[in-house]
This record gives sequence, structure tokens and C-alpha cells, in this order.
Amino acid sequence: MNKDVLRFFKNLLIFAVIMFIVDRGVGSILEYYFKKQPMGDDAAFAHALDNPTEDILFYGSSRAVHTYDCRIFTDSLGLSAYNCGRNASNIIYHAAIISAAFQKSTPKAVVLDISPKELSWKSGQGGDDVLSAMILPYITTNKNFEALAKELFPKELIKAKISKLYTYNSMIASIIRNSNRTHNDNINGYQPLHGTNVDEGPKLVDAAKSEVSAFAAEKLEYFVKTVTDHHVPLIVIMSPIYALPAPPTPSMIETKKILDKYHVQLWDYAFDSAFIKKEYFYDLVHLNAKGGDLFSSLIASRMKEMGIVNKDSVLNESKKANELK
Amino acid sequence: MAFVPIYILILGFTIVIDYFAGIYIDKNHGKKRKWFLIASLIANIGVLAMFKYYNFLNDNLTAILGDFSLQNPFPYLSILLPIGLSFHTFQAMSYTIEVYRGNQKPERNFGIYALYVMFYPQLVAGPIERPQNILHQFHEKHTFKYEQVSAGLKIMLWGFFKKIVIADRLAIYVNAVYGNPTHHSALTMFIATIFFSFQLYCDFSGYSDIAIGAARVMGFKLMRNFRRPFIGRGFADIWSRWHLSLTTWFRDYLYFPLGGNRKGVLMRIRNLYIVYMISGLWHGASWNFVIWGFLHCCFLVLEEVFKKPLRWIVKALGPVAIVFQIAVPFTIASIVNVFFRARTIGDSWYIIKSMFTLKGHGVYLGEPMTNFYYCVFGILVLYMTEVCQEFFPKIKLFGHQNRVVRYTGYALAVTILIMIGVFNGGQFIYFQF
Repeated sequence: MNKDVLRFFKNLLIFAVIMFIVDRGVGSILEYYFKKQPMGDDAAFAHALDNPTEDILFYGSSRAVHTYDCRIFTDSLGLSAYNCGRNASNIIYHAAIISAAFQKSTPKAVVLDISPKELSWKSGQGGDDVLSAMILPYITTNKNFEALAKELFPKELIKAKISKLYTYNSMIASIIRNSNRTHNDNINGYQPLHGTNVDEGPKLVDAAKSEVSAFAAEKLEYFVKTVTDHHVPLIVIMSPIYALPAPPTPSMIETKKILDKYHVQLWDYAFDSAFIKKEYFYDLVHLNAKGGDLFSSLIASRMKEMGIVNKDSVLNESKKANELK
Repeated sequence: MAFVPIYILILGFTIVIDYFAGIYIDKNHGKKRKWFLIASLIANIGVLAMFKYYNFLNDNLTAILGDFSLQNPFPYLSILLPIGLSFHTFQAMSYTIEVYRGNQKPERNFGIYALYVMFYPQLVAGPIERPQNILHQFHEKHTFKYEQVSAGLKIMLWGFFKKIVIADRLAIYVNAVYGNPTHHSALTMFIATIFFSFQLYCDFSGYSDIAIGAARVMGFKLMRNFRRPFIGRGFADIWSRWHLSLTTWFRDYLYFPLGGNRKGVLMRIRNLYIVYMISGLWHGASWNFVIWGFLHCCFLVLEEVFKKPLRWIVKALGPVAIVFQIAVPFTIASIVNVFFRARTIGDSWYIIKSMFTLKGHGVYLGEPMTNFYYCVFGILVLYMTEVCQEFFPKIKLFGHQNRVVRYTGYALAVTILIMIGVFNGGQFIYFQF
């Protein structure tokens, strides 16, 4: 063999070994600090994944994260609460983490916040990268996530298994930031948004054409079934959006079908006129702190009125559900 | 981006025309030679005009006829722009022009000529090669040489770094702001505008480095395309360092034939405007690009006109002058680049107006906010590297004599690339041209 070829492969091998060591070494340091983050999104998520022992658990995307103030529920219902929602997530993600809610204890109620296009998400149409970034750090410790990654992002899974550094891609700045922060803007998973960026009146949002993803529908059904199988009351809520009332989207129709099958209530506030005001919205799809407070109070009162988190009602609800099945 | 197999025929068409044009230009004398050159130029420019400019011209015709309440008889064509068309047609044209000028012998091996046009590392986004530089290399025997493979890989690594770590990261911020300019303050738009200049540079020079490096690995030497433009002192200096294969193409095949700077100041200014506006149009079939070229030329001319007072200012400022010499033209060039990035003239004007009227307050740091830190980090690494290359060429990392330092450099670059690179950044900006 040519001397130059031998020299090249020898040096390539040396470099590969160096990179392997650096990858494992730096990757392990990142992993350590990632898991030790005292606050921030990842810390809240770690709680949602490992130890959600609170009485009321909220699931949903950023719309849930910025809406449900756990303190209001605790004050109003006398129960502990935790917002397990996560920015830029969707039903596929919630379905992957719901089983954690029943590992150490059983919550008294589960609230799932969905959007009018919740079931229209499809792999490959954007958002894959965000979802994979959330999931990859946990593929070695969470079987649900590994299975999900295998199904949705097989290439990403392979890359993450080869490189530990890749698993924590783009996370170093948030790890450093969260480790040195003194102020926690994450209150039991709830992150209030202040002020408003809405400068126009509500418009009609055309979501009627968005197709339903069978995969997303399957995940919603899994989520609903997991909760109802544990005889825990589940409330599915469509929180307000800053838009004019529109006909139900295919996603909403499919959601309703699935929920009806399991006798789960849908509380639809998507176009509630009481909330469609600039002062309640941070942007077109997120309530601000003022809107979030008001909406949390409304939901807490309704839960109280309906006795949803009352122990007896929980038993009655589950008995009824079993009878109907 | 889509793969349309039939479009390969377009490339085949120009290759066949130019191949025979080269041979017949060489064979013939006098006017006949000129006719073969014209035939070749018409074929190349025709293809470019058809695929890149037909709908643009048609839209303008519709607008003009509409003003007179007339209907445009020409239909709108639903055609895709073949990837890299502007690059390989310019490269093909440089061949026939050089053969015509007698600087290059015609290539008689059809396969080698086709390779000249379709050499894959630079097919889609240059560098736009000259036949004198590359054709002879296709006839030479290339064997595996450690030094050139290693050199090529190092160039590629830096190219990937610029594209994945810097350009694609900046793109996240720039896209968020430019995609929704009405929601952002003057300061945010200014930051996005500066970021876009770095994005554009890193995206395109990153591609060029990858192309040059890939060619080097195989034993071919392509021309340099960038010479650290953001360290340029003044507009003329920036342009003498930016997209060299295109700027020298326009210089050699348009500016000089127009008379260059031989026919007095006014003619020189006229020639510059022609070149810059056509160069703008080369980038894209839109008035935005024409305005972009025009404005760059305006500042170039102004710099020339005020050369003497500028020299006095530089002298008065002393050593500090270099900061202004670099920062001021860069900032102005970045603001002009708004026309390159914004979707419409209206958007461009809105963004520039907002910046100068200090619209809104506060600053958007991106979502997530940490993205902004990566952007700043990337720019700092770029500037530090280029300042070292320009002013302290002895400081080397990838090219250091000590093996430990060299390997540390490689490992550091790859680690940063994996750790903060953006791996879904999409295609290169210049692929669309």
C-alpha cells in the first residue's frame, strides 16, 4: 500500500481515538451538569419525568406552560399541582411521559391542554428537531423515549448513540445559564409571560384544511387510555387563542371522537369571547400572566364546582367509566 | 429544492454547444470566429434568461401593460430554476471567451470538457473557474498524496464550521426577525441585519471552502473565492475580497470590455454601475438585487470621490483609524444587504426606515435566548480567526508545526461543531442562484 495512504489512515485512527475520548469525556461532563440543573426548562422536565407526585398534573405545550399557574389551583382546591407541560411539545411528547405520572403515586386529576391543530402534527413537517432535542438526552434512561426516537428519528437516535456530545447539542449555554441563575421564573413548571405583543384585532385562522395524523391520534388515545385506566379524572382543555371563532378543525373533530370513546370531557375555551382581549395575550397563541391567572382561576372554580378532584367523585367517575366499558 | 432529471439536458445542451463552439472558434478566422462565440454566448445567456429571468421580465411586462389597461399575451411559466445554473453558465462562457481571446486552447476531449463544466465540488455554487486554471489539471494524473488530502480536509473542516456553527445558527435569528419585521424594534432589526452579513459570508464562503477542500483532497486546486472581506478597509477593499471568482469574471468579461477605467472618470463610473447592477441581477431575478448592486456601487463611487478627505481623516485618527476603516463600510454594506435578504422592496424599505427612525424599543434575543449567545460566540471565533490570518499569519492552529497543537485544534473544532452546530440548517443560500 502507498506510504501516504498508510500515513493517512494511521493519523485518521489517532484522531478518531482522540475524538472518541473527547466525546465521551466532555459529553459526560455535560450530562452531569444537565441532570444537576437546579432550575429552568430541563429541571422542570426532569421533575415531570422522574417524580411527579403532585395531586394535579398539567400536560401540554407552551400553551399549558404559560397558562396554568399551579399556585392558584393549590389555593383554590387545597391540592398540590405541577405543570408538566413543555415548550414546543405536542401530544406525541405528552404520551411518552404520561406513564411517569403513575410510577410513584397516583394523581387526583390530570389536565391536558390541546390546541385546535393538536393532531395535525406530522413527522418531517417541522418540529422534529425540537422534539428530538427534548428526547435524546433521555434515550438511555427512558424506554418510552428510546422507542419514540426509534420510530420518529431513527437517524438522530443513531447519531446520539454514537456521540454523547451530539445528545447535548446546543445545550451548553442553557446548562451554564441555569446553573448560575439566582431567579427561578419557573414556578412548579408554570412560566408566566408578561406584557403583550398583540397589536391587532383577532383574525380568522384557517386551520380547517390541516389533516389529522393517525400517529398523533393514536398517541392522544394512548394518553387518554393511560389516565382513565388508572381511574384518574382527565380533563382535556382547549385554552383560548387570539382568533375569531372558526368551525371545528379536523383535529378537533377527531379529538372529540377519541374523548367521547373514553367518556372524557373536553372543555373548549379556544374562541371564548371573555378571553379574546389583547390584555390577556402575550401573543396570538399564548396567554400572558394576567390571562393565565384568570384562566387558571376559572378552571380551578369549574373543577371545584364539578367536584372533579373530590375523592368520592374520583371513585364514582371511575366506576361509571368501568360500567360503560 | 427538487431533482428534475430532465433538467440535466439543459446542462448537456450548453456543454455540447460550448464544446463545439470552442473547437470552431479555434479552427476559424476573422468574423466567423466571432459568430461562433456569439452563438455560444446566446445559447448560455438564453438558457439563463429562459429559466431565471423569463418570469421576472414577464411580471414586469404585465405591470407595465396593466398601467395602460392592456393584457400581457405571454404566459407565466411554471418552471424551476436549475440548481447552480448561474454558476455553470458563467464558467462555460469563460471557456469560449478565453478560447476566442486565444488564452486557452480548445478542449478536444468531450469528457474532459464536460467535466470542466460539471466538476461536482464546484458545480452548484462555484468558485466559477477559468479554463486556464482547471482544464489542464483534468489531464494530469492524480495520486493519493497525504499532504494534499490533509490540506483539503482542513479547508473542509473550516468550511463546515462556518456553515454549521456560524451561518446556520445566525439564520435562526435572522429568519425570525426578517420573517416578521413589523414585530421587532430598530435595535433588533439592526442586529439581525449585521448578523445576516455574517450569515451570508459564512454560508457562501463555507460552501466555497468545502468545494475547494473536496477538490484538493482529489488533487485539484481551485481558485480562492474569499479573502476575509470583513477585514476590508473600505468598500473597494471589501469587494476586492468578496466572491473573487465572480467579481473577477465581471471585471475580465464585462468591465474591461466596456472600457474599464481607461476612458475617463465618468465612463468608469458608468461602467461600474453597469457591472454592479448586472451583478445584482445575476444573484436573483428581482429588483431587490438590482437595487442592492446599485447601492453598493453608489458607496463605492462615493468612497472614490471622497478619497482625499477620507485620507486626511485616517491620518488624523492615527492607529485608531483602522477600526473605523473596517467597521464603517462593513456596517453600511450590511444595511445595503437588507435588499439582499428581505423578501420585497417594501419589506427592505420598511426595515431600513425602522432602523433609522428608531422604531420600538427593547431587543429580541431569540427563542430560546441561548441561541443569541451561540451567534455571538460564532462571530467572535470567526473574527478572531480571520484577524489572526490577516495580521498575525504566524499564529496557526490547524497548520501548526507541533502535532499536539494541531490535533488539539482539530478536536476543538469538531467538538464545537458537534456541540453547538445546527444540523438542520437546510441548503446553502447561493444554491438558489
